[in-house]
Amino acid sequence: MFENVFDMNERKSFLKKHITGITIGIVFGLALVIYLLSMLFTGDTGYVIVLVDGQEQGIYSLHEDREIRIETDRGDNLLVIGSGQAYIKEADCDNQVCVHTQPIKATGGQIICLPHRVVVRLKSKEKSEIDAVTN
Amino acid sequence: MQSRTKKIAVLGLFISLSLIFSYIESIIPVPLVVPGAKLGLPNALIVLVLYAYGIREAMVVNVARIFISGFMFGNLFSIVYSLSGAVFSFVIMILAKRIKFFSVKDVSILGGVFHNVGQIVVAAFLVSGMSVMAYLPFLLVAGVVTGLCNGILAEIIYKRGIL
Repeated sequence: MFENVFDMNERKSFLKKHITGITIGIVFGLALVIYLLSMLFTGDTGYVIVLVDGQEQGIYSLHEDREIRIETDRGDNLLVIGSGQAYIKEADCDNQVCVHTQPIKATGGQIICLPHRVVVRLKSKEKSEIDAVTN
Repeated sequence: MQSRTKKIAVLGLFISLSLIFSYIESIIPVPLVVPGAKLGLPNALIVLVLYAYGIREAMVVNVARIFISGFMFGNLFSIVYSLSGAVFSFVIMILAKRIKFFSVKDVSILGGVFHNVGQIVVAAFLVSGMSVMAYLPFLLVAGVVTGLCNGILAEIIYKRGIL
């Protein structure tokens, strides 16, 4: 009789005792799944989009090493694409924020040069930027 | 009548304490993988009030904290931003508290996790892009860690029964 009651308590408390671990496990599992899925979708990071004044100026592959001079009415930027990443090497603006921005290599990464209204952004696929603006 | 007065005073103290926590957090940068990830110490207080007093009281402290700290250390945008996380996390915590086998710790963990989920959903709307979702896995893990810390803290204080 006594043992039976003890057993009942034991079983009831199993969930209670391990619920924290279970909760953490589920969330970590979920995080891992989402992480792997996002890796799957952004695996083919590959395009550098250059926007001037919000208008698409050019699109380049991230895997071809080259230097691109971005010319705007307000000034020029020198974009360098090499070894799977992109960065601004030179800019004839005052603040040089874009030059100091870390090289971008993952989808969604972007470099912004406000004085010249230039945005350099990485996209996974070669589709129009309009999609991203409207959704 | 006396207990009512006491409650008002204690809740007032909780609001000011959570403001101090918000302030401390805003001046200490936490070097984590995710930019802007914070410990969310005020949430420990919210959990504590939720358990020691109830839903209404916790909501008052929560909303007051967000607005006051928003006006003091942030701007309108940061109010909207933290409100989105707080509302999301609060609703989840109320629901989780109703489930019997969840302890204070678990409620806090879920609160922390969904705080981040709520914020990233709003961020996705504001920045108008799914690219912020790349942060989600890291924010989930961060939510668990911070939620656990806050939950342990809240549980210790709650179990002392001083409230």
